[in-house]
Amino acid sequence: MSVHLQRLQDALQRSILTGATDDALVCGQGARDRSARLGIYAYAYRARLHDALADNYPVLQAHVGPDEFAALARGYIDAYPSRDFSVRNFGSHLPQWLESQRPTEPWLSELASFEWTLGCVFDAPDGPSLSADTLSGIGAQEWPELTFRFASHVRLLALETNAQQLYECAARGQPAAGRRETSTIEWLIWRRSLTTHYRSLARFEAIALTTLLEGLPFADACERLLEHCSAEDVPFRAAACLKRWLADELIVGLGQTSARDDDARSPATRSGLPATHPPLNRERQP
Amino acid sequence: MTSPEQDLGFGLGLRPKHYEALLGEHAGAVDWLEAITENYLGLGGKPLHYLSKLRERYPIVLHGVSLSIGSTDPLDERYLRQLRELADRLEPAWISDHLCWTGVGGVNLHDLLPLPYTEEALTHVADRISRAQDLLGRQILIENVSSYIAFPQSQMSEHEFLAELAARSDCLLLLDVNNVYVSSVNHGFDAREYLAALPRDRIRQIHLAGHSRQDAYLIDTHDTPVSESVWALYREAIARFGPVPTMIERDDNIPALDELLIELDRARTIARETLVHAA
Repeated sequence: MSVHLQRLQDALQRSILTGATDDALVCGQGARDRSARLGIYAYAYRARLHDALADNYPVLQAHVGPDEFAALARGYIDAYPSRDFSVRNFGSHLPQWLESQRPTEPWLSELASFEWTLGCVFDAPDGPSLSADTLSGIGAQEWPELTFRFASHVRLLALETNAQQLYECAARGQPAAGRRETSTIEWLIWRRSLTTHYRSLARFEAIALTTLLEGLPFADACERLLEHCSAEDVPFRAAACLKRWLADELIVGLGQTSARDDDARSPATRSGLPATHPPLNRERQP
Repeated sequence: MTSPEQDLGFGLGLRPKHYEALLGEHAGAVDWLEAITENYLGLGGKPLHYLSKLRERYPIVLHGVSLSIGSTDPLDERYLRQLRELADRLEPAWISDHLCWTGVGGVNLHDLLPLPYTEEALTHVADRISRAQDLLGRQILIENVSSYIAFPQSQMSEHEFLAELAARSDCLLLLDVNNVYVSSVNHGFDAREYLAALPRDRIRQIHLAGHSRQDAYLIDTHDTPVSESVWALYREAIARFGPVPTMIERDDNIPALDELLIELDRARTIARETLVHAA
């Protein structure tokens, strides 16, 4: 065990995280020189993480302005030291942190959540989707127990403010629309080929998709849909949804058991916060 | 375990801004590309799409910033597994990372922090490089970093540490000429003496980059063209180590590809002149 090395690394990390100079740690020509040398690392740490947040939340930054964004970044950097090998993932807790810090401005955390989810979808792992004619070969007796595996880029996000509208205004450089709370709207965010898409879902489609994303069989989805449509219409409307999802490249497999590439509908997503996702690229160009 | 032997020529650090140009109007303008490992690890979509398309056209090497080979935290085996998967898919000419640590206690400071050059650290890092090489199934290249601090505990110079580390762990070296220069100014050592101490047969790649001055210190910012002092040291490196695959890293204020190609041509010219003179 490298005891001395561990002690030194603990001390230097503490100095960088807190900005408190322990200048006995390093060589130098006097206290001022030692402090300046340590300060280079402390400054770079905060600048790098600020830039990582700005790279991943350019629209949030445009919405609140650079000064407020910098203040938010400072608070977040103190609250959530990075624990991921990719700096791209540093901002994963920002929506949650904004929710706790700005409870009277729920659109801020939802705007962050919407933007973060778009980023997750942009470079989520690939996988071949099923073709649109896949359903034609399924016998009637197989439908009730049929389950669906969805692509890892499929995300559902429930918003209770007009954050999506605020996102679009800021992304286009337009003045912000009035910020307000709304009734819950479910957003489907996904990728078709290399392009990220999003659309709001009607209640019927949201329930069907939520149920199937949970890994439950088609019969369960139909049962939940009975509250929203007549029994004879349910299978036809549900099948119409499935056809659209296949065309949109959401579905990657069929089965009889619960299975999904990852949990697109974690408790965090249900509360309007981003799902756990794999490491993401910090750069999104072109 | 495989060992990289290829003389790739002259390359660039791959940046998304240049994806289209490298596949279109400037296709074939560089001999190879260096991709930042973490930007593609476990991912898909456009980044991996472009990397795969570029791989069809160019040799690619993978350059990591989060292996944290010098940390006293356990080796991140999840990271290494994902790296191996990416390498199996891309078949890079080689994999590299830095002689540094990036954090402890599970924290990642996302910086390339220097080590104390002690026997304890040498044993620790050599053992971890050997384990990483075993897990990756290949020799890796370890790069010298720029630094602004040195530790009173150090028992040897950085170049002595690096040479001994390569021998003990049987790793290869990525020589960052800019980092040697930056650290030589910050710590007052002789950059030529540093080069002279490195094992010629283990240098497999050279990095060139720009730096900035901040008060009395040079900072490894990668946001400016390569400085005249670094070009001069590059000439020394080629004279000493021969035709080593060379590339330019630019991470900020990234110019159009044409501008970097002109800078890369200067590296070609220096290497050619130096090698002709030596012959």
